[in-house]
Amino acid sequence: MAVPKVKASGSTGGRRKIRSRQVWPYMFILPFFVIYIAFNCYPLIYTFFISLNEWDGFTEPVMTGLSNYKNIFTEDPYFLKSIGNTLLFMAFDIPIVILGGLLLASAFNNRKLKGANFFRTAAFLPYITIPVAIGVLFSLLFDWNSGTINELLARAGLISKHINFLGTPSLARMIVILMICWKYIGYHMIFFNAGISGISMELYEAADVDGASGFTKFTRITIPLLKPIIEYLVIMNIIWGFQLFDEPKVLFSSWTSSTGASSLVGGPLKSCMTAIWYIYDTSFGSQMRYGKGAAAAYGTFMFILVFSLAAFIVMKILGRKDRDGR
Amino acid sequence: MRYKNLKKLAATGTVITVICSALAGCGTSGGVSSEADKGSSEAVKTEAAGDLSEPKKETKGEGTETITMWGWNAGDIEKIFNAYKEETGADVSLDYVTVQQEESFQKLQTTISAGLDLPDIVPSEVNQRGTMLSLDIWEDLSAAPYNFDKSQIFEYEIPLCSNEKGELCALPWDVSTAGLAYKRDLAKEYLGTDDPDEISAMFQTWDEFLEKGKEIREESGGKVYMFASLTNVKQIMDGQNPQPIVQNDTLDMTSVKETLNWMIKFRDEGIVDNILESSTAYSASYADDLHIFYPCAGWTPNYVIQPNDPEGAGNWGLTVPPQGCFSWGGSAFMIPRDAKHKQAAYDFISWMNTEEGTRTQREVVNYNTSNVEAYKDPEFAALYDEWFGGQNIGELLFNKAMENIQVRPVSTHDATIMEVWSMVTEAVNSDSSIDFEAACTMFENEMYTLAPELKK
Amino acid sequence: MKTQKVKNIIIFVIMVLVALICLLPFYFMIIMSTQYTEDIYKGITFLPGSYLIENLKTVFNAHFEMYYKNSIIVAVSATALSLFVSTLCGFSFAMYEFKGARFLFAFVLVTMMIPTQLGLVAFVVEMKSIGWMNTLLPLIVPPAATGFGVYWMKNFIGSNFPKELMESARIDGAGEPRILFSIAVPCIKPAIASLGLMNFVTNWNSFLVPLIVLNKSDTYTVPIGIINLNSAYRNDLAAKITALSIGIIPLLILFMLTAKTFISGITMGAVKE
Repeated sequence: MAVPKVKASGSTGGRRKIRSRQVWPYMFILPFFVIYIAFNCYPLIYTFFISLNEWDGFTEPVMTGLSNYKNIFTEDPYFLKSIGNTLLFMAFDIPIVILGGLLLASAFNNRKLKGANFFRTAAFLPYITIPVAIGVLFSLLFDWNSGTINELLARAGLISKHINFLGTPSLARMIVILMICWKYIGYHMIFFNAGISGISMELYEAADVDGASGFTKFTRITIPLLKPIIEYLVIMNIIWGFQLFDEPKVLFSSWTSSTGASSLVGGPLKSCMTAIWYIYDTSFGSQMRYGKGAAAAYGTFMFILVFSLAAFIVMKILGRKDRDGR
Repeated sequence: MRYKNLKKLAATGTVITVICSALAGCGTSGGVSSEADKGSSEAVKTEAAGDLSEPKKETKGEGTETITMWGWNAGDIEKIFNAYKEETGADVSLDYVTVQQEESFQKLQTTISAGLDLPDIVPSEVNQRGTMLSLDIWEDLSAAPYNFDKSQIFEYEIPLCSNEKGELCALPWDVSTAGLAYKRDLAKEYLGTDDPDEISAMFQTWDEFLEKGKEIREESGGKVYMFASLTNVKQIMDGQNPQPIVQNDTLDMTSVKETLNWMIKFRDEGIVDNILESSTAYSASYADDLHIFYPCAGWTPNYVIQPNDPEGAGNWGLTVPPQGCFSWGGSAFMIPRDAKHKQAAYDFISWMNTEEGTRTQREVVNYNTSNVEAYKDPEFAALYDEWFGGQNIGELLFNKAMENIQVRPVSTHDATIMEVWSMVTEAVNSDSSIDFEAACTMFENEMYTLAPELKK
Repeated sequence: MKTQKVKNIIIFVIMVLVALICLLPFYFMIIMSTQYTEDIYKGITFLPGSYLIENLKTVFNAHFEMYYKNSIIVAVSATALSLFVSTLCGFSFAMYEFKGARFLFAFVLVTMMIPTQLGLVAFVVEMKSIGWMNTLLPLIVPPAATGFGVYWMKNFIGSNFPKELMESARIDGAGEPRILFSIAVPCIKPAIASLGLMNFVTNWNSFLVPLIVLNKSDTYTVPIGIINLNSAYRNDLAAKITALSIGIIPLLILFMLTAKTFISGITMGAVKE
C-alpha cells in the first residue's frame, strides 16, 4: 500500500526523502563518534606517542623507541603479574557471579513470595555503592587485629589465632574476589530474574507433563533460553574485570589510618595489583614514569584485544555447536 | 513542505548544538562550569582566555592579593593566616585547597604534566619531599630576592629542605625531632619506674632494650609488647641510621641492613606486636595496656596520642631511645618558580619561621614551628603537655634532641624508597619465614625494579 | 502441597540470609556514622553510638552540600547527555541499513572493551588545552559517549520497536527525527530508565577523573569531597563514613523510584538478542 502513496507525492519529494533517509543515520551516530573520538581516541593516540618516550611529565620527553615496552615485558616483573592478577580475579569471579546470580534468580522466581521486591533492592544495593565505601568496609571487616570477621570467628571458637586476611597474598586475593562477587551478584540476579520471568510458563508446564525433573528443566529450558543474557553478562564482566582498580586500591590504602601511614601499593607482595592500578602507580605513584605507564596502558590494551578475540571465538564455536546439536 | 523543513532544521540544530558543545565547550557550556554561580558571561570570559586557567581575582577576601595554597590542615591554617594578617597587617587573602596528604604528590604530578598553574604554596611531607624537590621547578629561597636566613631555623632541618644541588627550596614548618613515648602505668609495672631519665639510663643500647623486652614478655605471659608495630621499629631505626640509601644512582644497603636487622630480631624475639601502622588496630593500641613504647615527634601528642587515647591524660612519658633522638615526619612549604604571587607566598611562609610567627602558632594552634631564636627562651622551649603529666617534653624535643640529631638528606628516590619500605615491612610482618637475608634481597630487588636507572 | 511449603520456607531463609549479607555492611556504615572515630578503631560494634550529630556537623562544616550540588549537576547532566547520545546512535544502528554500519557498530563494541583510564595522562593534557580544568565539563561531556549505552539502546530498540511502525509513520509524513523522538522514545522508556540508572550510578561514583581534574574545592564532587574531609588535627574516619552514607542516599532513592521500570527495561531488552 505504501509504495503508490510515496510516488503520488511527486518525484522530487521522493528523491529528497530518500536522500534524507540516507543522511539521518549518519547524523544520529555523529554525536557519539564526535565525542568518543575527541575525548577517548585522541588521548589514546597521544598516549601511544608518550609510550615511545622517557617522560617524567615535566622535563622534555626523550624519544626512546620501544624501550618502555621492553622494560615492562622483560625487566619489570610486576606488569605481567598485574595482568595475571586481573585474569585470575576474572577467572574466579565470573563463574561465581554468573552461577550464583542464576541460582538465586531461579530460586526466587516464585512471584508470590513475600518480600521479593525488598530482597531485590537489598541485593542490588552493593552495586550502586561508591567503591570507596566498599573498600573501607572490607578493610575494616577483615583487619588482622581488630577486624569484625576475625573477632566473630574467634568468639565462635572456630579459630585460635586471628587470620591475616589482608597480609597473606592468597587470602588477600580471596578478599578482593569476595568483594567483587558481593558487589555484582545482585546485579546478575536481577538480570537473570528478568530473563526467567520472560520465559513462558507453558514451556515448564509441558516439561512437567513429560515428567522432567527440576534439574532437567533448569539445564534444558532455563539455561538455553538465558543464553543471550549469559553472553551479555560475561562480556560485561570482562569489561569490568579489566577496569578493576578503585576497590582494591581503597582496600589497601591508609584511608582508615589515623597517622597518615603510607598505603601498600598492590597489596601484599603486589598480589592484588590490577592492570589499571599498575598503570596508575607507574604514572602517578612514586615513580612518575609516564612513558612506562603509557606503554603499560598499550600492553594492557593488547591483552584486552587478545582476550576479547579469544572470548569471541569461543562463543562463536559454542554457538555453532549448539546449533549443530539441535 | 516548508513546515517539515523547518522541523528538520530544528533537529539538525539540536545535533549541531551537541557537537559544538562537545568541540568548543568553552563558550556554549560555560553555565555548568564551576563559575556558574557568578554569572555565565564572566565564566565565558575566564574560560575563553584558555591559558589563563588561573581564576579571576577572588572577590571573597578583602585582600588585594590572593595566595593559593594546598594542604591538609584547613582549619589550622586559617587560624594561622588570620593571626598573620593581624600581626603584620599584610594585605592578602588565602585560597586554601584541601588536598589529602596521600594524594598530594600525585596531584602535583598531574598539575605539572598537564601544564596547569601550580599553587603559590605547595606543602610536602618529608617522605616525598626529596622526590618533589628533584623537580627543577622551585624557587631557591636562600637566594635573591628572598635571601632567607638559614640561621633562623634549626640546623638539622636544612638538609631536609634542600634539593640535591644544595639550594634551600623549602621552608620547614613543624619541628620533627622525636623521642620514645611510653605509657607510664605499663612502665611502672614492668620497668619498675616511670621516670624518663631512669628509663633512658636503663636502655643504653638496643640490645639491652631487646633483653628487657623478652623479660617483659615472659613476665606478662606473652601479652605485653615493647612496640605495637614493626612500622614503628622501622621509623626509629631508619631515623637513627642516616646513611643515604641511594647516592649517585647507586644503592647503598648499609642503613637498610641495619634497620632490617633490628626489625627482624625484634619480630623473631616477639617483642613487637604484628599490628601495621596503616591498620585501625594500630590507632586503638594507644589506649590499651599491651604496648609500651611509641615513637613521638613534636606533632604526635596533638595529632595521634590525644585523639587515640582520650582517657590517657597524664599517662604518657617521653624519653630518649637507645642511640639517641631522631627526626620523624614534619612538613615544609615550597614555592613554584611559576607561581603568580611568589613574594606574598614567601612573606607568609617566612613569617611562620620568624620568632614572632613561631610564638603565634604555638598560641593559636599549639604547633611547634622552627624558629631557633624562639626556643632560646627557656620559657618558650619548655612544653608541658597535659597528656605527658608534668613532664617538660620541650626539654627533650627542642634541646636534648638538637645536640646530636642526625638526618638523612632528602633525595630524588625517597618516594620509591618509601614504597619499597612499606612493601617489605608488610611482608616481614606477615610472613615470619622471611629472614634477614631474604628481606634484604627483597628490598634490593624491589629498588632495582622500581628504579631501573640504579647502577648494579 | 506440604513439600511446596517446606521449599518455600527454605527459599525464604536463603533469601533472608542473602539480604543480610548484602545489607550488613550498610548497617555497619550507619552504626559507624553514629560513633566517634577512635571508637571505630577499636573494632566495629553492632550498637549505635551517640556521635551522629557531631559527625553530621563535621560533614556539613566542610560544605558537603556544595559537593552534593556539584555531584547532582554532574550526574544529572552527564546522564541526560549520555542518554541522548546513546538513543540517537542506538536508534540509527538498530533501524537503518547504511554504508559502514557494520564496521561502525563493531567499532562501538570495541570501545566498550577499552578502559577509559588508559589514556588518562593525555586526557588531562587535553582538558587543560581546551580550558576545562577545574570545571565540571570533563565529568559531563566525555562520559556521554559510552559504547555500552549504544549497545544497550541498539539491542532494545532492535527487538522492541517494530520497523513497520516506522514505515507507517513515514507514510504519515513524519521526518526521521520526529519518528525517533515522538514515536520511538515513548516505546523505549524502560530502556531509557534502566540505562539512565546505570549511567547515573557510574557518574555519581566517578572517582579517578575528578580526582585529577578538579583542583578547586568549590568544584569537588561527593567522592572527592569525602576523601578530603578532615576535621582539625585528625583523620576523621567516622565523619567520612557519615559522608559516605549520605552520599549513597540519592542512588538509593533513585533505584527505589525506578526499580520497576528498571527491571522491565532489563526484561524487555536483555532477554532477546
